[in-house]
Amino acid sequence: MKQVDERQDAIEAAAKAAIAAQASAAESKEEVEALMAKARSEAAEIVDTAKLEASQMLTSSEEKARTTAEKIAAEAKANVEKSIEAAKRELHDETLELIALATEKVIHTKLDKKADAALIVSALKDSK
Amino acid sequence: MAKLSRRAIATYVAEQLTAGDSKKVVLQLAAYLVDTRRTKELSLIIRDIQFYLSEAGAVSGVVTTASELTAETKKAVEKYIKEQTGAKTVALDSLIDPSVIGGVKVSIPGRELDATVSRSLTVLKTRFKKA
Repeated sequence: MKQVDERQDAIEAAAKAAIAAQASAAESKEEVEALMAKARSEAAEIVDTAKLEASQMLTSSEEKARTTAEKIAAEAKANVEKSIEAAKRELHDETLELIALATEKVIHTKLDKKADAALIVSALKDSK
Repeated sequence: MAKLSRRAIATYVAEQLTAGDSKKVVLQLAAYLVDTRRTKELSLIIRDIQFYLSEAGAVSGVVTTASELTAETKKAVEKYIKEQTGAKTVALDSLIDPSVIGGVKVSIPGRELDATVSRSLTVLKTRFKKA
């Protein structure tokens, strides 16, 4: 009988231990799940931050590249305009030289003494 | 002998020339400049004399043209100088310079009129050139 009682006690103790172990296991599982959830959340946050930083770096690089391209284009445009202006100026001056030369040639052949005398009288009147 | 100033010399010579004693004063001036070793100042002294003479109403000048002046144009130049300076008499030296092409350049003490064709062409070339 005593043996039966001892066995009964042992069985009850084993059952209690099993229940406690089950409870402990359940508790551990919840803790693990909470840790896993936290880890997943942190990982997601890290990934999001990394994506954001990468995106910002990309935007900054694009901005720099655009600014540089615009600067190069503006400089090129200014150089072209400068060259055009210089060419225009040169053409203008050469035209003046040619006009003066042509006028000189024409006057040399056309201006006789009579015309020159008239020119002199006219010039003296104009300068009064 | 104290060195006379250029102004004093020019004034004296101008006065003598106005008085009509030109030959004597010219000889005096030449002798003085040689004696005082100041012949290098001759052109400046002549310019000063011309200035004083012009102030006294006797203007002398140089007229530059491409060909010889006609009587009519010479008269027109003299009239122009008289009107511009109030001169009583005008003495002109004529200079023929074909490089002026046409027109006239009148140089009198203190002023100059350049109405030559070559000058007009130079103005055309320089004034209208883009800087």
